[in-house]
This record gives sequence, structure tokens and C-alpha cells, in this order.
Amino acid sequence: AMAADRAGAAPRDCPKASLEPDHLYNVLFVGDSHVGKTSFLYRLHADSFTPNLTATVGLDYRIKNLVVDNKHFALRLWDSAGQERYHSMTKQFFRKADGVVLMYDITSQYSFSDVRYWLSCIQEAAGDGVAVLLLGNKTDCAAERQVPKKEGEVLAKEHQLMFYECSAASGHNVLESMVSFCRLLKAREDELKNKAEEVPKAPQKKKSCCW
Amino acid sequence: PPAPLGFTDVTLNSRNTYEVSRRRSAPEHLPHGATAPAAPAPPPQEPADRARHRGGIASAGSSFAEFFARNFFTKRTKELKPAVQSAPGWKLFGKVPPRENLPKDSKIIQQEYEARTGRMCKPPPPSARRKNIEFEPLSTTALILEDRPANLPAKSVEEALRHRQEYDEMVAEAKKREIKEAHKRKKIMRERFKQEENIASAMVIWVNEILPNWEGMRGTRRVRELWWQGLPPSVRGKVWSLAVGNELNITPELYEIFLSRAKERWKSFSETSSENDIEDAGASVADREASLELIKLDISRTFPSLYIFQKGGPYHDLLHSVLGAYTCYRPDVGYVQGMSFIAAVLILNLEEADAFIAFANLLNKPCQLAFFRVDHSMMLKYFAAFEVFFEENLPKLFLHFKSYSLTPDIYLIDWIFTLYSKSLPLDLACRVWDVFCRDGEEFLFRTGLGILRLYEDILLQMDFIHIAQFLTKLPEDITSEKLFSCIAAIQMQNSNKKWAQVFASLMKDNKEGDKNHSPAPKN
Repeated sequence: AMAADRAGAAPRDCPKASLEPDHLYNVLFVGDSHVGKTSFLYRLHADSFTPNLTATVGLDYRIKNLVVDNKHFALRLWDSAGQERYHSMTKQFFRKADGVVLMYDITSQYSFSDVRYWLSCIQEAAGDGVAVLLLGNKTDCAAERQVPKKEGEVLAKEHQLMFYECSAASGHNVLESMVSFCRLLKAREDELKNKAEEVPKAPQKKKSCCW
Repeated sequence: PPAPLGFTDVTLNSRNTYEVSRRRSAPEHLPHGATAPAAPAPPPQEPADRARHRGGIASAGSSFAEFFARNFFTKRTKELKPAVQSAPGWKLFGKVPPRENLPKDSKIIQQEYEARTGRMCKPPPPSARRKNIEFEPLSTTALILEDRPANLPAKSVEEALRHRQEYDEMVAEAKKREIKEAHKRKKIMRERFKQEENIASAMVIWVNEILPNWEGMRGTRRVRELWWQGLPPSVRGKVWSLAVGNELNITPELYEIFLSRAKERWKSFSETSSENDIEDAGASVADREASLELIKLDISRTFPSLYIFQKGGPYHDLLHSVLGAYTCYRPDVGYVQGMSFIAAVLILNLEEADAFIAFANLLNKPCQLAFFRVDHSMMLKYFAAFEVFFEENLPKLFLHFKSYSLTPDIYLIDWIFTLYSKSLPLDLACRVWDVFCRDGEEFLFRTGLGILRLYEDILLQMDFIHIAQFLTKLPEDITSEKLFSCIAAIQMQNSNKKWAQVFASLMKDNKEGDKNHSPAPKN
């Protein structure tokens, strides 16, 4: 957690932020309506909380620059509307996403049981390769908790997801989870790169074969 | 009458009043905004509701204005007052805290100096002083004239002279600034007065001439031009109702029937959900969507900065009723996020049953039906037609967007679903609605092009994500003059084809099985 704190967001006027980032990722936020997707992004963006955010219609967009492990990460954050009617619109963006943040509300059992539905959507549209961060939001509302932390952990383990509980209202784990997710995204990218480097060897062989 | 003008004031300020309104609201009504209160708390005193009811048959628009005139702005002015009182003129050294052990009040020093130089032989009478309030040097400025404390070397004659000179210069400079400011204020007042006069005279024309002869006059050039200028808030709701029409033949009685049906459903829903909250967890998303829960959650997220639709707010129940009745009236469409904004704008301008009638008829228009049913193939047609006019009007920006594969769905979904009420300041959104009622769906897309034109230079400098972020969070200082002049410059003609023709030919293409080049959703 200490490391994550130090690896905070680059200040806006930091010249590094305006330079080409070392890594650029598209991250799509999904989850039921009213679990706190937009509030989470607002906390990440402005480091404050307002209970007065309007409901998202269609999609919203945010950019977040982070410096993690001395690398500049630019995150394109796509905030989607939670209502089921909009899902068919959201689905097309799964394909473009490098990572998906799947959020539920720890005070709503409903939103947690819909996580499986969302996972099937992600799998269907984006395949297994996509990095997924499961977030249980609203830890500040401990008295109304309906989903034990253990349940989130078990589900995350079962589907091999990164997992955090967080609070957009208090700021708890908001930056920490995104910093960890950046590392995961980078690891995935490196994996893919390594694979890609292996691929050209095959055609070369073929070439020599034909010759 | 002041009421309709009050409405303009409110909407002009709607985006800037967050801080004030936040303080106004009792925190216990909104535990976190993110969590729905389990049990409905008894609504607190609702002065606006009373204001509304006192208004009786008077339009909701004017009582809304009353609400703000009474509560919102009295509060505002009250909060502003102390600041005004503490700054009766200008302050040259505003940041310098007043010294506690001043040997003399700086004002006395100033008066002494003026008396010595013979500028002001006697202290001005109170009335003259008030006239002179625009220029009243105060604060620490005059301290420069005073002798140094005894423990410091005394001023030389030259130094004292120089200080006197400097003081005169400072006073002259401040006076100049003050006069300039006063001119500016006067100009703003004159403009506002003129604007108010225009609204008042337009209102007379609408009430006395146009509304009594609606069918005969609505299409005339004169009326159409007056319409473009914006409807006076007091007749706005009436004109919207007439223009939207009532093809569905909904009566207030029918509304009551669907409302009572909705109320029954809420009752049975709240009973079952409290009993087996957890057991029902397996129910699908769609089931719950139909259960009206979402409406409850969204109402408090509709124009939250106005603080009138949230729990305990004066229009909370009204918005709940209109949306609930609609889901019972049109279960085939149901409630879709974005609808609450449309219903809210109507509620601000119309009585409850009229708002419902306008709402149902508005959502029954082909464009709204296509979007709220999320009919992908139809939505794609609308986007494609939009792109035809986009390319025609703003070719450079069109190519810029193309180079990033930035498709119109990225920004149009939010704009069209909420008819701009979420993305534009409320007063401006109402003006867009005015002309939308006049011109129909094509004006929604024309407005979109107007926004793109207004910000073309900025957008040309941006990349994909910055454009997307910009267009989904438009600047708050967007003014109606600028936007409407940009909209007016958008030609809705494409090689002699109008919007409807372009759209119709795209529909025909679809039937012929033309491949879709737009990268928007494919299903």
C-alpha cells in the first residue's frame, strides 16, 4: 500500500504527463446501475466525492495519467451506463478494451449476483485474455454491508480476477486498486509482446523451408 | 410579471449554484447519494410545495420560479450581503490585514489631508456620500500620508511630498478603475433590462395573438422567427404541449388510472423486496429493471444540483409519478435511463397531467422510440444521416473525427437520449427544446452540429479520448447567443436533399441490404 501511495497520479502540469505515455490502455467500467462507477472515476479524477452525480446515459469518458514504477501510464477510462437496456451498446466496447473494471456494491446482494452475468458478457465479447479488476465499492457503508469480503475474494479466485474492496466516498483503495491494475495491464501487455515476438520465428522457418 | 423572469434567472444559474444548494439541503436526506434510503423519511417542510399549491392552476413554471425567488435567491442574496457591506468602495491593499494599534483611523487621516488641501471643506452630508459611493478611498491607502512612528527615522520633506504625490496618483488610478467598473455594471444592467423587456413583449404577442389562433399561425414566418428567439418561460409549457400534440389521445383521467396502477406495483414491490431481499438475488437484471427500483434510484440523480427532485424535494414525488405511470402505460418501452431528465424538464414547465401527456407523446416520436427501445439498426440510420450533414457542414472536423474512428454514437447517445437537458445548461437546453418542438427531430441533430461548429477549433487540436471527454462534458460557460448563431449557420441541405429525404433514402438502402459502414454496434 505504501508503494501505491507513492506511485500517485502525475500532477496535471507535470511535463511528463503531456509527453507520449509509456503505456496506453483502454479500460471499460461495467456493473449494475448505481454501484458507483462514475463516483469512482470522479474520485480518481478530482480526488473528491459528490453525492450529486447524474446518472450516466450511454457512455462517459475520462483520461487518467498515472506514474507507476517510474513509467507513465495513460488510462482511457470508459464509463458505461449500468441499465440493462444499454448493455447491447456497451458490448461493442468490450472488444476495444485492454482491461475491464467490474464493479459491484457491497451493500447490494443484487449487484453482486449480477457479477456473474457481467463476467459472461466480458468473456463473450472480449475473450479470456482481457484483464479484469473486480471492485466491491462502498466500504464506507459498513453497516449496510450485504456482501462479505470473503465472497468477493472467492469469486475473484474462481475466475482469476484481481480483487479490491474500495470506497469512492472515502477514497479508500481507489488509487491503490488502479495502480495495481496498471501493473497487471502492463504484465499482460508484456506477455502478449513475448508471444508476438515468438510468432515471427514461425514464418521465417517457413520461408527457409520453401527456399 | 416577475415570475417568468425569475425562471430565467434560476436556469441561468443552475450550474453555478451547487455550493449554495448543497448547504441548503439537509444532509440526512442524502446519506451518500449512492445508497437508497431504506425507509422513506417523512418529508421535511416543503415551502416550495406550498408555493406551488398556492399557485393553484398557475403553471408549474411560474411556481417553480416562485420557489426560487422565495427560497433560493433570498438565501443567496443574504449570503452575499456581508461581503457587499464590508467592501463599500475599493481597496488598494486588499490583502493587508488592518493593524490593531493604528494611531489614527486611516479615514481620519484621509479627511485631514483633504481638509488641509482644501478639497473637501466640510464633511459631505449623508445623501451626498451615498451618491459618491462609487468612489470612496478607504482601507490603508491613506496611511502613506501619516508620519512614521517615533521609533523610526522621521520622513524628510521630499519623502513626505513624494508620498503625497503617490497618494494622489493611487486615488486617481482607483477612481478611474471604479468608474470603468461602474460603466460595465450599467451596461450589463441595460442589457438585462432590454432582455427582460423583449421577453415581456414577446409574451404579450404569444398570449394575445398566437395562442388563440394556434393552428392558423404556428406555421407563419413571423411566428417561426419569434419562436427561434426562444419562448417566454410563462408560455413555454403551453407551446410545447401544443407543438408536441396528443396523437395518443391521453386524458388526465387516463393518467390517473396508470398512476394508481403504478402505485399498486410500488406497494407490492416494496412488500416483497423487504421480505426476501436476499432470496430474490438470483432474479435476472431484466426482472428488476421492470420492478421500478431503477426509477427510484435515478430520480435523485436527475438535476441533482437543483435539489428539487431528490427525496424530500418539492418535485420528487411528481417525477416518480410521471415515470411510474409511463412504465405502466408503455410496458413495451419501459423505463430507460435518460428518461428522467426529459420528464423533469417537462415537470418544470407543465402541470402534472399535462407533463405526462407531453412526455408520452414526445417519446412516441420515431426518433425517441428508436433510441429508447435501443433499436440498433434505426439508431445507425440516424447516425448515418447525421454524418451526411456533418461532412457537408464541417468537412475538416469530419475528417479529423474519421482519422480517429470517432463515431457519432460516442457523443450523440447522451445528447439525443436526454434531448440535451443533461449536457447543456438548463436554460439553453430549454431553448433547444423550443426549436425542437418547432422543427422536429432534425433540429436535435442540427444542434449537435452547432455544438461541433462552436468548438471546431478546439476539437481539431484534440485526440480521440480528449474529444470524447470534451463532448460528453461540455464547457459550462456555453452561451445561447453563441450556440444559436452556430446552429443557424448549419445548413440542413445536402445536394438539395433535406434531412427527411436523406433519412428516407438511408432507410431504403437498409432494405436493399446495403452493408453498414458505420462502426457503431452490430447485432
